[in-house]
Amino acid sequence: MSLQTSARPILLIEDNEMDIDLTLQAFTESAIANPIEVCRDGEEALSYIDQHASADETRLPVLVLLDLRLPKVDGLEVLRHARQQPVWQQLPIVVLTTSREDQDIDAAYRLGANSYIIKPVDFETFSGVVKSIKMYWLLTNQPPFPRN
Amino acid sequence: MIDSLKTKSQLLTELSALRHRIGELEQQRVHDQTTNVAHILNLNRLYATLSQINQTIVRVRDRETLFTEICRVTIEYGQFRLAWIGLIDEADQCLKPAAAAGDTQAYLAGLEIPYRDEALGRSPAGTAAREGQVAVSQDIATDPGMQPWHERALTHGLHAAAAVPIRQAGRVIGALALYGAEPHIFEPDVIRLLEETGVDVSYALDALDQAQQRAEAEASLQRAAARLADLHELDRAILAADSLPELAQAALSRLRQLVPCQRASLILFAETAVQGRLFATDFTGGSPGVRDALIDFGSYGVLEELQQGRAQQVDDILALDQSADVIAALGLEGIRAFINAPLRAAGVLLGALNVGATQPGAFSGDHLAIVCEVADQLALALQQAQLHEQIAQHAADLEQRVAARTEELNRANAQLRARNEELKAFAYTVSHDLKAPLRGISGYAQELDRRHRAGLNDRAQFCLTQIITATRNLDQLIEDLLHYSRLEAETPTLTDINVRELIERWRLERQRQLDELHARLTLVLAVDRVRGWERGLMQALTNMLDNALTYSRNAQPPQIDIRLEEEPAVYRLSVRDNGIGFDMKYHDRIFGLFNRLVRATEFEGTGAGLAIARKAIEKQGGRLWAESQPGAGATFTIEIPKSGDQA
Repeated sequence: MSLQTSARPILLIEDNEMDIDLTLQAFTESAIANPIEVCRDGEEALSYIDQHASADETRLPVLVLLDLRLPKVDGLEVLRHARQQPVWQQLPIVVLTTSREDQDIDAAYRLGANSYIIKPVDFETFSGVVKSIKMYWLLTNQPPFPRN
Repeated sequence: MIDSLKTKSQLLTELSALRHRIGELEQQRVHDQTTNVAHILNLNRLYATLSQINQTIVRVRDRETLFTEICRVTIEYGQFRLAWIGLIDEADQCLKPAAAAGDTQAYLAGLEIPYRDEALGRSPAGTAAREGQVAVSQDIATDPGMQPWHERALTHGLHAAAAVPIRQAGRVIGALALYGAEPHIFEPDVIRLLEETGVDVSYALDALDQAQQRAEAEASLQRAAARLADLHELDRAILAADSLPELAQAALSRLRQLVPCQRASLILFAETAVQGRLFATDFTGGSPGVRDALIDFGSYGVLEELQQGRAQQVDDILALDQSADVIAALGLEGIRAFINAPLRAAGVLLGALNVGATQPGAFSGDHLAIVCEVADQLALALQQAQLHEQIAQHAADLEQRVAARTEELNRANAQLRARNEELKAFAYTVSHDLKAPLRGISGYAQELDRRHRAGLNDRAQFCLTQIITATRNLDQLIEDLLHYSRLEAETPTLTDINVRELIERWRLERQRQLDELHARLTLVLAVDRVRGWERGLMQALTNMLDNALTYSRNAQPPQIDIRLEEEPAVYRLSVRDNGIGFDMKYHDRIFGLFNRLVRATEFEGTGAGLAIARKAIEKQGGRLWAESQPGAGATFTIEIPKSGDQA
């Protein structure tokens, strides 16, 4: 794993401040070194995608954690938009949400989500989930960019 | 030998006697021959007369000619002086001449024979008419019975008379009387032939009668056939009509072709009213005086007749002692004769059919019959048309009601869909918005617990633990609530379900707990597969099994028996435990949302499990109930219909 890869950020698209704080807390507990970029609504997420559309862009995230219920533009819309961009088409996007709705799960996978994780209420459980994410998506998984 | 003994003189004497006898016989023969010839000639004459009479009978077609001809033939061939036929006049009780022949007809002038009177009716004609048999007066000059006509007869040179009765249909209607110039001319043979003549004439009369009757019957048959054809035509016109007014108009115009009249109109009554409204009319030229008017039948007195089903026929309005408006109006139109026929159906007077003619007495009995028949047909058609309209109206009403109900239903459905959407949105909101702050509370409390526990005293640490427990409980509660509302909004889809597999899945998930409690599970499954809503059944079964395990945890060891039975119409799945059980008076409460019978500290759970299970089963048309006694375990039973009907 190159330093460059580990230096790439994790993009957290989430509107709830407490959830953001607790997620960061869990990341810290899991000793995740990557910087965390946060988009607090769907619109912000769309412009982040549009502004970082190149494969050699340093702020191109190594992993995207996407909440579905967002102000202004819905999470599924953000996902659709991302998958229409050539580079973002290939990025690992993990949906991290409280929704258990079948139609949300179906829609997310249809639009190209790589994973769908239901956010547990209990922090201890949540912390465990974050650890799994790290283990798999940051350590086990081979990301699409950069290639060398 | 004996002959030879007779003397010659004896023989001569005998011879002379024989000659004399021969002479006598010869004389007798000549006399007889003369008499016989006269007699035979006489008979021949009478036979000729009878023959002529018979020919006349065959030839002649009416009564009058028949009588005249018989008299003429009798005189011509029978060599009588006078022949006449007298007919009984019932009113005057007299026999009066109807036909006569002969040169002494003046004898008959003013002749009336009171044939019923035994004293004054004793002439042969009177007697024949009265007694029904041949009567003879061989010598008028000395016959006391002929006393009243003595002079008259002798003056006309009539000396003998005979009469034979004439019958029609077995009844005596008159007599044929013959008169001769000589007394005693009516010998037995003549009388016999006379009797025959009477029979033949009577037969001729009957034959004429029958012929006439036959002709009349034929004519009437033809009239009836023609009328029937006309009425059929009318029927077709009535049937072809689409609406009530069209039907009435068709009937009236056809009626006017059948019955010559200047006006025909149909008046309809309101259900109970005395007044009828002129519904349809058909006229020849001119402007009708009565149109679209209310006709007051009450004042004119015919209503009752019509109600009784009797028609009214007036031959001349001018002869009516009646000043009712209707009559006056008809009079203004120039109507002199009219017929009013009732239209009745099931005893109720629906209306009247009126035809009017400018000619007094224009309508015959036949016309009346036709008008009545048309009225009957119209009544039937009207009733049917009204029934038809009623049915059509009813159908329209029904359709409208169905449309209204459908719209109502659609609205309700739309509302229901909206409610379902709302519910889903609510569920979504609850899951997201309610859980976010809950995650906050849980997260920060746990951070405090893990990072800053050392700085807290015992009470503060206890509070922290309580907060964390509370967040877990609240989380579960929200989860259950969501579950319940999701089930509520979901539409079950039916598939084949492997029940054994469902139970295995649950057993694997709860393996650790089952092992810890040393719980025992027995399965008695009559079939493995049932048809139903898999997700709902899994949910219900899981909750039932969890429930059984929870409440039997203190048993030594916990025992759970699962049984699946197949009934003709249903599958029955029961779960029995040996737990604490419950009092049946709480039966309904345990299926309520968030109702618990025990304190949370004794047995974990939100209390929503059985409510969710029951909802899941009811959604697929089944039912769920429990049987228990405190301390004796509980049995929860599911029944789902085989037909797979949804609730």
